[in-house]
Amino acid sequence: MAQFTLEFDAKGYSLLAVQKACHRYSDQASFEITQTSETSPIQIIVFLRLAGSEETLAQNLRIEVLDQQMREVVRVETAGVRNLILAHAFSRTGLIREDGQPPEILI
Amino acid sequence: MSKFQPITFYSKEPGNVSEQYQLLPFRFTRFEDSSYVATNIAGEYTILDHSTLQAFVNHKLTATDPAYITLRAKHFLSDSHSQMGPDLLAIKVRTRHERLAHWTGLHIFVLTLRCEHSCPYCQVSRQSEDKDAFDMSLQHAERGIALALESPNLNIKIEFQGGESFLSFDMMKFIVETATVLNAKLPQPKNLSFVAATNLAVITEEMLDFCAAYNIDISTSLDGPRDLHNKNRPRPGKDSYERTIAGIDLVRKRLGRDKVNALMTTTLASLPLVREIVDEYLTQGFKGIFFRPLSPYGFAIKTKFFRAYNAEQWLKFYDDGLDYIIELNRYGVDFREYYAATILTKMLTSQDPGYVDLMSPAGIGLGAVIYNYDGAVYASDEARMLAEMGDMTFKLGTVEDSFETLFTNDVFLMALEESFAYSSPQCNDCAFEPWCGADPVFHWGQQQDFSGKKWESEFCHRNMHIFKGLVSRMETDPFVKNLFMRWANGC
Repeated sequence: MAQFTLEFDAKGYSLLAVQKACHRYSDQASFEITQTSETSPIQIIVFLRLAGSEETLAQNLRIEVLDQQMREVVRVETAGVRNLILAHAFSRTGLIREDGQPPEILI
Repeated sequence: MSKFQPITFYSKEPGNVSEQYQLLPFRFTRFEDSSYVATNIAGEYTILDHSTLQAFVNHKLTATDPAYITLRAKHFLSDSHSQMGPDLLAIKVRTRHERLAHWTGLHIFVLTLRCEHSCPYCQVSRQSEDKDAFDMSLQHAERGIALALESPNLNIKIEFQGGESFLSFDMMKFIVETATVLNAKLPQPKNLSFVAATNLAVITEEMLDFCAAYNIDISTSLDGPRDLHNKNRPRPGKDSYERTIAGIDLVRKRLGRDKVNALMTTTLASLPLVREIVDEYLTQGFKGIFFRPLSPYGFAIKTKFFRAYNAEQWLKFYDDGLDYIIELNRYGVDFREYYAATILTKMLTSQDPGYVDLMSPAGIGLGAVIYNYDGAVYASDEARMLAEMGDMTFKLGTVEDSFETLFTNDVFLMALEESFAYSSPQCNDCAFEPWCGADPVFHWGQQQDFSGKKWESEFCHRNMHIFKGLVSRMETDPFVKNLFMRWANGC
């Protein structure tokens, strides 16, 4: 099975961003992701389903990891306001209780 | 104190170029080579190139950048000029999801599986015409009516399906009359409406009189021109097309022009004929068409019709048809494609049209519920089609169960939760999520997975292609943008 390895600096990329990027390309390859400590590089071994697509997949993975990292920045930064908006949006539907717990009966 | 901001507030001079802004929740997905579609939490979209997106996320976008103004106007950011942004977004999100609090509005009664047609693509696994064992009983009908009227929704639509629903006309009459009487006795009667799905081949004056008396809408099948329709929909006498057209004419004369709608199903034979199919709908005086691919259920699977063409072939058919309809509109012909119009409503307004396949949480059970001829209750029309193939996963129970028992069915709730696109892998990051839906029945049928592996999902592939195609057409052609705005708003 054709394979190659990529590494991402943990200072610039999170493990979650790398995992999500790999998941996105699960149709083309399977992946083994390792990181020995929180600060050590994130390494992925890519096992290709079809040999010959190494270069394109490596390029796409790098772009996707960058996109996923940006998404994580947005998600973290907007978590508070997102929850506020959703709570406000559903406040009068009976789907959210005042204490934030889900309703006891779903119907 | 003045109600107005000082003039400096509106200044674009360098003084407020480095405006501090807060990101509001949004998602982005690669669109074309170096650009992205970004959508906010309410589904409004904008196109950003890579450098603008990066600058925006990193708080480097200046207040004088044209993209900044758009991002602020569409609630992707809030700053000192737009402190109402989060509140407005919340109102839009609330509007978009208001159906959730109303619960199930569409109640489908499968009156019989009997049908005099023998369409090889039929998704309902029909039975032959003489098997009374496949008709709904009075007892089951009464319980179904009680359940339908128990729904908290104030707008209840009862739809009759088959087989051929008018082959069980007495049962249809019983349900309409009983539901009308019982509804009138409710402390707060509901807005009750009826629709009958029929091939119109067996419709009579008596049936039409009844439909007129109870304001029943008619939904029929028209696959295209005579040869195509009769090839797709064989029946004794080989006259399905002639009967359908005559039926449409009768319904219009007796019930009114807008009381009949038609649906088409795409077969392999339809693929090269998209213009002819649209022309047929125009000839018959319809204002639009719904391009519908074959569904992977029932006879469509048994006869291998479902795999007669692949997703790419259907998408080419769809694109060709949509472009043809746009061209017709350029020449002043008012005609639309209803699937596009449904998506555009989600893209360009805060409304959710409530199309079951494009709802998240999934529309099964919440958007529609099925009372089958044998008393079984299913979470969707496709769920009962799956059941006819032996898979009972989405059977909620029977009409003898209580409303609470049916709608707290464990598998049903698990399917809703696991397929919820807002938290489903990949959907969660996808800019098209606010326009898309969860279809756990389709994904269960295809992959035995409620959520579905998106990289293998035909549902995902088909909808992503259509979303991108609609955005692309709007972004490159002002005429199309204007046309799509009208479709989105039902004008």
